[in-house]
Amino acid sequence: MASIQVVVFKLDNEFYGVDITKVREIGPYIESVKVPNTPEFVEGIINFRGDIIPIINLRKVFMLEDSKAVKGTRIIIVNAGNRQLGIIVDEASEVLYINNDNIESSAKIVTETKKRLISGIGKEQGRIIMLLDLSELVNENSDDMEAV
Amino acid sequence: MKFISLKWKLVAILLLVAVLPTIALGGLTYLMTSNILQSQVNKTIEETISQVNVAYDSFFEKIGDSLQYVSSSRHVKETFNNKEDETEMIKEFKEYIGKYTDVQCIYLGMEDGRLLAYPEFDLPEGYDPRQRQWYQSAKENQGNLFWTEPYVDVFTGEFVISAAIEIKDSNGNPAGVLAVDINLQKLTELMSSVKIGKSGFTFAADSKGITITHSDKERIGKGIGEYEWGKQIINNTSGSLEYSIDNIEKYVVYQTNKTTGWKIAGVIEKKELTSELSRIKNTMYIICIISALLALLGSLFAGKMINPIKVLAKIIDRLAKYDLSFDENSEAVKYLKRKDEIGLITKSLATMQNNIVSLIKDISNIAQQVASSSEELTATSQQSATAADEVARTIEEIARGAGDQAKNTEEGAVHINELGQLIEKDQDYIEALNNTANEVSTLKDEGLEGLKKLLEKTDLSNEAAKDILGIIINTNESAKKIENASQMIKSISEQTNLLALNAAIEAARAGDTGRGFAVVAEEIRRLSEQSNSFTGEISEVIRELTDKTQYAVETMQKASEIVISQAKSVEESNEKFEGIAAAIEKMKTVIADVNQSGQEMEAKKDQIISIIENLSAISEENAAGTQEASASIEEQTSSVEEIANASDSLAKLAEEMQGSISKFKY
Repeated sequence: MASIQVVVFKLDNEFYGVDITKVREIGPYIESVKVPNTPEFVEGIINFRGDIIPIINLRKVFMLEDSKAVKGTRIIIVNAGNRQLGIIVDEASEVLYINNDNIESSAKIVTETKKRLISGIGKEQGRIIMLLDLSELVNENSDDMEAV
Repeated sequence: MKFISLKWKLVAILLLVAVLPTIALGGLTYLMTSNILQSQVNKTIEETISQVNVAYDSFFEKIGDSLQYVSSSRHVKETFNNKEDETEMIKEFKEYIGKYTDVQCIYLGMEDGRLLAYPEFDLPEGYDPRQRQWYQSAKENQGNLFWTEPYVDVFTGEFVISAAIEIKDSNGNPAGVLAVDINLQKLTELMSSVKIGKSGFTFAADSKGITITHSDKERIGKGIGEYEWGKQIINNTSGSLEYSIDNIEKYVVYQTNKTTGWKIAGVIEKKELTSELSRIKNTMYIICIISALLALLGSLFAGKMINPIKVLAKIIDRLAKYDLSFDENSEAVKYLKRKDEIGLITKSLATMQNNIVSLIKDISNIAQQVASSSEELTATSQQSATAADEVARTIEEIARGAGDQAKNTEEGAVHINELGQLIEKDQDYIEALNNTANEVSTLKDEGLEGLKKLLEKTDLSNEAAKDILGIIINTNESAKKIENASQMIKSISEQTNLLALNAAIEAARAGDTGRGFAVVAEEIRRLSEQSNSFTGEISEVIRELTDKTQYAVETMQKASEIVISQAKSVEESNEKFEGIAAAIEKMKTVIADVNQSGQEMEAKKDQIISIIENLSAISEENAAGTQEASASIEEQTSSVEEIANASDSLAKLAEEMQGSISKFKY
C-alpha cells in the first residue's frame, strides 16, 4: 500500500496537509516585515536562519476570516518550485502517513480557488485532511513572487 | 275783498271825518235842541196848567169856602124856621152873587121841597129839588162840599158846574142843600186868557172826558174819550203826548185837578216847535254840505299824497315776489330826498333791500356750508354709531367677562374655603408628623447604638479577612511559580515537538537512510507529546488550583470588599443616621416653619377670601357698570341715531333753505 507522508497543520479548525518532502522546516511564528505593493495574502517577509522568506497568509488565500497569531501558530517553510515560502498555520504538530486509497480528488467538490490549491482530500481517523498543492500556490502568485 | 285804493279810503275817511261829525253834531244839536225845546215847552205848559190848576183849585176853594160860609149863615139856618128869613136869604144871596161874579146863581133846596134861588128863575112844573142829583149827592156827602160833574143847565143851556152842601138847621137836622151854579163860560174865559205860545191854548175836561172849557166853543160838551189821546188823558193822572186833529199835529200836556178830578190840558201846535227846529235843521244841512265840499277838496290832495305810497307799494310787491334787484330808474329814488314819512319809508326800504340782499347772500353761503357740514355730520354720526355699536359689543363682552369673573371669584372663594379646611387638616397632620419625627429620633438613637456595635464587629472581621487574604495570596503566588515552571516545561516540550517534527521531515527527506532516524524522531515526538500532555495536566491542575485560589482570593477580596463596603455601609448608615438625625431636626424646624406657614396661610386665606369677596363685589359692580355703560351706549347710539336723523333733517332743511333762497333775484 502506497502512502504519502504529510505534515498536518490546522487552519481555522480544518486540517490541511502538505507533502513532507516539500517541507523544509516548521518554525515558530515570527512577525513578518510588511512589504509594500504586495498582494494582500502576502503577509510580509521574515529572516529565517539567514534566508529571506516571504510569508503567505493562507487565510487570505482561502478567503477565510483572518485571525491573530496564537501560541500554537507556526510557520511552515515549504519548497515550492525553486523558491521557498512560509505559510502561517494555526497548528502544526503531526506528521502522518496517509494511504492513497484514502485520498479523494477534489475536483467534484471544492470551489475553484480551493480546487486549484487543494490537490486532494485525505481521510484519516475520521478526520478530513485537505492536501495542499503548493505548486499552484506558487503559480498563482508567480508574478507577484517575482517582485518579492 | 276788492282792491280799494288808499286814495278812495282817504277820501272816504275825509268825507266821513268831515261830514259825519257835522251830521252827528247837527243831528245831535237838532235832537238836543228839539228835546230842550220840547221840555221847555212841556215845562211851560205844565207850569201854565199848574197855575190854571191852582187857579181852578183856588177858584173852587173860594167858591167852596164861600158856600160853606153861606151855609153856616144864620139866615140860611133860620130860613127853615120862618119865611121872613127867606127874604133875608135872598138878600144874602144877592150879596153873594154880587160878590162872586163867577157864580151864576145860588140856590137853596129845602127838605120841604122848596127852592130858593137867586137870581130867580122860573121853575118848571113839578120841579123838586130833592130829586135833583145835586141835592141827593150833597146829602150823601153829609156836610162836605160836593162838586157835580159839568152839565148843561136846563135854564141857560150852557155848561155849568154846581157845588152843593147840605144844610143843617139850628137843631142840627138836615134841612136842605145849598148849591151854586158856576157857568163854565167863566172858566173858559179864565182859561182862554191863558195863552200858550203863539197858537196854544188850554182846555179842561171832566173826569169822563167831556170838554168843559175850550177856546173853541163848539168843542165844549164834546167828549175826548173818542180819541186815543183822549182815552189816555182820561186814564192817566198827568202826562204829555202828541196827537193830531184835523191833520194838525198837536202837543198836549195835562194834569188832573185834585178837587174835581177834571183834566186840565195845555195844547200847542207842533208847528211852533218844529218851525224853530226846522231852522236849525236847515242850518245843519248847509253846514254838512259845506263840510262835504271841503272833504272833497281835501280828497283831491289825498290823491296826490297816495301816489308815492302806490309807487312804494309796487316796489314792495316786487320785493314780495322775491325780486330784490334795485331799480335805479324807479320814481322811488326821488322819494329818498323827501323829509317826511315817505322819505323815511323809501330810505328804510332801500336799506332793507340792501340788508336783505347781503343777508341772503350770507344765508346762501351758510346754507351751503350747513349742507356740507350736515353731510359730514351724517357721516361722522354714522361712524360714531358704528363705533358705538362696536363699543356696545365690546361692553357686552366685558359684561360677560365680568359675569364670568364674578362667577370665578365665587368659585375661588369656595375653593379658598376648602383650602382653609385643608390647611387645618394639615395642621393636624403636622402635629402627627411632629410626633412621628420624635419617634424616629428615638429610633435613630437606638440605631446609632446598634451601628456602633456593628462597626466594632466589622473591624474585627476585617482584620481576620485580611489575614486569610494574605495566606491565600501566598498560596497563589506559589501556584504561579509552579505554573511558570510548568510553562517552561511546556515550551521545552513544544520545542522538542518541533524539533521532532523537523527531524521527521529531515528523516523523510533522507529517505531510507533516514528511516531509523525517523523512528527516533517519532519517539522523541511522542515523548514531547507526553510531556506536553503531562505539563498540560499539570497546567490543568495548576490552573484549577490557581482558579480555586483565584476564586478564593476573589472571594476573599469580595468578602473584603463586602466587609469594606459593609463598613462603608455602616459608616454610611451612621452618616445616614446622623443625616437622619439632622434631617429630623431640620424636619422639626421645617415642621415648625410649616406650622407657622400654615397659620400664615390660614391668615392669608382669610385675606384672600376677603380679597375675593372684594373682587366678587367689584366684578359685580363691573357687571352693573358695564350694564350701565351698555345702557349708556344704547342711549348714545340712539342719540347718535337721532343726531344722524337730525343731521339728515338739517341737510334737508339746508336744501330747502337753499331752494327758498334761490327764489330771490339779486
